[in-house]
Amino acid sequence: MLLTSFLQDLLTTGSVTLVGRPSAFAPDDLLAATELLQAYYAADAREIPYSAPAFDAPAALWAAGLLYHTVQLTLVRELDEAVIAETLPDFAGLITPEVLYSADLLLRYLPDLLRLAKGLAPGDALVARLQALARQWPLSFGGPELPEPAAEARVLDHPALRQEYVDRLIRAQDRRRAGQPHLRALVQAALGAHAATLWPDFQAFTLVTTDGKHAD
Amino acid sequence: MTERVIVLASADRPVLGHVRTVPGLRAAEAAGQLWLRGLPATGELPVAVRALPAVATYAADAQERLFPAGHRTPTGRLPALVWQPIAEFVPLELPTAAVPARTVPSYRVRLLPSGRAQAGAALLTTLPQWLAYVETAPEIRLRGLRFAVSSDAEVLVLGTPLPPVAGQEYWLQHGLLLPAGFDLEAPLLAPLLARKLDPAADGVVLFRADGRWEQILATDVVPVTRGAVRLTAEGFAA
Repeated sequence: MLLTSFLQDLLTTGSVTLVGRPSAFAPDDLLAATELLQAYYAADAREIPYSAPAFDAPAALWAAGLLYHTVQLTLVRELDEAVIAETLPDFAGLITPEVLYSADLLLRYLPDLLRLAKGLAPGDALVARLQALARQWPLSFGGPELPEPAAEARVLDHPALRQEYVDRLIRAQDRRRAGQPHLRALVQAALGAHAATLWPDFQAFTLVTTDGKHAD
Repeated sequence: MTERVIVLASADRPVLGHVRTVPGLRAAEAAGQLWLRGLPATGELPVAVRALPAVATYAADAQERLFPAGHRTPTGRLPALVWQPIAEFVPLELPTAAVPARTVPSYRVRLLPSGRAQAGAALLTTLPQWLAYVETAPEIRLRGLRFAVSSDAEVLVLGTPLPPVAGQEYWLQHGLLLPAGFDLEAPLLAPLLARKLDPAADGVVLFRADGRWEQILATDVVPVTRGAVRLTAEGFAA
């Protein structure tokens, strides 16, 4: 029950314990982990605007395994690129809103690990792999890695994911993304007439000068 | 004979108030009887003394032997008592006020249209309207808000900025929520009124436009999250 214990600890105490070397998860472990993830989805979906996309078990399990192995690889630094590619694969299926949201349940923990890995070794293969994931899964990764346009378009196409994405930009005060024209309008709409109090410098860094360049 | 002595029943103590001012009169109490001495041996006694309900009257000689009136043979001796001047024996007591108690004047709170404007601090709306807003509102617009729901599904939302939801907006004055556009008829009474209606200062007092009011305890007001509002609505639907 490696994965199930890991998830239980992560979602209840925030403190996790795992074994030193990557290994495959047993079928009964995956089954128990799926039930746990479904319960977590039900609680989290209450906080999502509009109607949350339905639960997609393969996506949630893929993200859980990815998170588990990323924690391992962050701690065990001597593992090579081949192990990283093998244990942190891309999602195999079609990326739908259901996949985006179900995977996000655990991918949302990865930005912290990316920052930690960067601090340990900026040029590491693990860092490069996480940065690639960040570009592919923009809902889960805020921060400096700008997303692939197609990946971001998939998020913006769904009303619940779009609103959640904008909420996260505002919560993180992500100036780089919020300053982009296609997101600036969405952030402005969310702030409404209260931008000056809700995000005091929003107008300043999104001002466009007469030659079309941003004021900053 | 040197003086006259009067004996009364103890129960007649209140009548001694009439002779408090008789000079030289002293009194003592023993065995259910009141003894008075110090009256002159001869001459007419003051009217107040003569009006006392005496059970016995004596003349006493220098040896304190007691002679019943008109008798030449003593029948007893003046008992050895702690004699007090009559003014000390019957002290004055302040009378209880006989005037009727004064009732506290009541004040009927009235609201009048106000001539000034101020920012809204609360919104009273319905649960369906509130839920519809929260379902799609940006999180940043919910973060500064708190809410409470009544048993008849009325929702009071507190905080800023207030949500753009149909309902009655309220101003906050000294812990009193007044309908926007209204002031107390006597605005200076607001702090006093707040202290009277919410002495523990553990909530807000909501006034309706018709003067009715209700207290909302701070413990009944919770931070706004989509989950909290959805669960509340589900509780009403069940």
